[in-house]
Amino acid sequence: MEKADAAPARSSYALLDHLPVGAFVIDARFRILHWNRVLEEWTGIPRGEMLHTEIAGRFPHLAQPKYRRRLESIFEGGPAAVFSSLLHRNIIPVELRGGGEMLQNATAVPFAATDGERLVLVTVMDVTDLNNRINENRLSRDTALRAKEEAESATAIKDKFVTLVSHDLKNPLGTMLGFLDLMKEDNTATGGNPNMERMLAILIESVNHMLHLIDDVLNLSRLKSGKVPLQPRFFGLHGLALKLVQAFEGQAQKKGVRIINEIPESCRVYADQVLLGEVLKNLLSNAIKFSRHGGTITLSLRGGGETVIAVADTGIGIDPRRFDTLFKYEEKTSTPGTAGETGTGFGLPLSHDIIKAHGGTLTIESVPGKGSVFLITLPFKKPLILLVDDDSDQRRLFKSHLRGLDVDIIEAEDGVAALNILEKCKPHLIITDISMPNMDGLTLLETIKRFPDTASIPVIVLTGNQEMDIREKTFRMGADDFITTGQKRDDFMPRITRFLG
Amino acid sequence: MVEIPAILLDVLTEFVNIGIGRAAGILNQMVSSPVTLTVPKIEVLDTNDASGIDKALGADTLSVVRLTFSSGLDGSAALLFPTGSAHKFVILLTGEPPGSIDIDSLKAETLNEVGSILLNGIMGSIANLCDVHINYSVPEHFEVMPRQLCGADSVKGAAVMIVHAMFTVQEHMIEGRMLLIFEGDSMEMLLAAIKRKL
Repeated sequence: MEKADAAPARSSYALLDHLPVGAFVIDARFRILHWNRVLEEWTGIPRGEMLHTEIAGRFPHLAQPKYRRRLESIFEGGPAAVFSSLLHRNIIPVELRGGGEMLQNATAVPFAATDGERLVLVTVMDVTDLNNRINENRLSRDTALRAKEEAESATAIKDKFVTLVSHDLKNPLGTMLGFLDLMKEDNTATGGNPNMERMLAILIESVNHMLHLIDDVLNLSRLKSGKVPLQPRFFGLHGLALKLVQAFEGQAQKKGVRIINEIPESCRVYADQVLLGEVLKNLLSNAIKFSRHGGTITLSLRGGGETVIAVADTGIGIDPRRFDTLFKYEEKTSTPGTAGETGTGFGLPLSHDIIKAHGGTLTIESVPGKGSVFLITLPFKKPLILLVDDDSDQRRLFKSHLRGLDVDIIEAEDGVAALNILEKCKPHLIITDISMPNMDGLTLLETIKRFPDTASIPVIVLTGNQEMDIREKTFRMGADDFITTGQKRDDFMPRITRFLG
Repeated sequence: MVEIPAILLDVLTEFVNIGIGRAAGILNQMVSSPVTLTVPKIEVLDTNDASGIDKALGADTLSVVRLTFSSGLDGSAALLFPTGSAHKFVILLTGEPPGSIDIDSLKAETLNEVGSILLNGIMGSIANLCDVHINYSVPEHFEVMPRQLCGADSVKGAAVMIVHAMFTVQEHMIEGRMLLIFEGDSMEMLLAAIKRKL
């Protein structure tokens, strides 16, 4: 005689009506002893019609061995049986209102009635919703994944296309511009006809405009693809500003506009010189474009903890309501200048992105009718020099030489110590001795130049050896410069300061 | 270490094979691709034999379907797959595309069903052999590290029967284990029953 589990009296099957799942009870002859309320609702078959009938009469598929045999085995003393939705879909077919069939997970569990009769309780759970949610989840995940892949490959193709097309466009335009310039210089080409001369001038201007546009697109794709990383270095801003002012002088004079460079000679910035030059070119050409005859453009530096470069003009100004849209590619708006000059509309968004990539900001102050100020704010950086030498006296001497430069210095006594420091921070310049214990300067140099993280840091090699072959060897290994100990301070300092601006 | 004479182990293996054969028959009525099941080896260890159990169960997380049994014999029976194999097995059985059954509940349901069929087969054989009636719990699915299966205080020093099983579905071989822990004097009862049959 079996030990009875919790054994409900037949009258207490009513409890099953309170279950939130389908439930029915069968005896060893597969006759239905209870059909709960949830099943009545699902199937639309009232309990009265089901009671004491054989279940396979109503649901013939349950006569198949895969159900019958397994239910029989429970009556023979076997353990509970599970009927999963993935293998059976359902054991009590139910049409869903929204169409389709209900998916079910059923469990058949034996129990003993009060009179000791072995019965089986089958509980049926509706897992349609769960199934659908899993499918939706899978579908949306797949869709999202595909969309991401497509977007990535589209971006890659676009970048490649832009680079290719831009280069292919640039070359013939350059040739065109060259010949047009020759024609302009050679008066016989236009035959002194003022109409022809005007047309030639328009041609030259159009080609120039197109070249600018292509340059902007190239810079944009370079910045957006992230393939060409920023190459920041310290350099003197005064020198860069001077070159740009000279480059724009002709254009400015034509409109009767004056450009003043107030950047102090001592000003040092840490930035990608080429890209910062692009930004300043954009801002200067805009300033000229929107200045009236007699206007002034000033390049200056504003004080504070950060480097703030101001490009101010006394031009027509910008309506503050337009500030937000000026830096957006999507709202590409080119406003004609005071002399009808046109632009690409890319200049300001691109400049904004370049400065942002430097960790800085590009902002505007403007009063319509009075002029505009564009402010480039770059994070302030003090140069950090890593000095590697096993001779502490030599290090002390060097430190005293560098004192006047307003730099921070970290010291290491050999290559190993230097690499440990490089794991934690990235100096702006490394000065290293060659012969040192543990790891010599050449091995250190090789290691620094091998790893992408450190390869761009300039390295100056320091040695007492005056022989040319060592010098050549270090250059071949990627050293950026070379100092011989015993050299006079005034002789070697320029070799250091050129990396510090 | 539990020492079982080779002849008793042979008989036990034979009984287990009969049960598993019956289970495979039922399984094959339900799935579209035929499943063959072979039992190359049965070993009996002691739950205290950590290194032996490690060797038999591997170190990967296991997907487990387990039911406990009581009255005639006491202990638990489990079907185990490394989680990766469990996933693959369910995909092969149900014909679902790979990667679609990544939410555990559906995988668990199916494994529960397969587990209940196989454990029913094996336990049916053992119950017949011992001529006892056994009460079972409802099978449950969970994932666990192999060590935790035999490490509970309640099963210290119990005998563990490990059934190495190879499933072949659609030309794929999937290795699983069935683990039967016999508590108290259940193993002695089983061995005595086998001896009576000889």
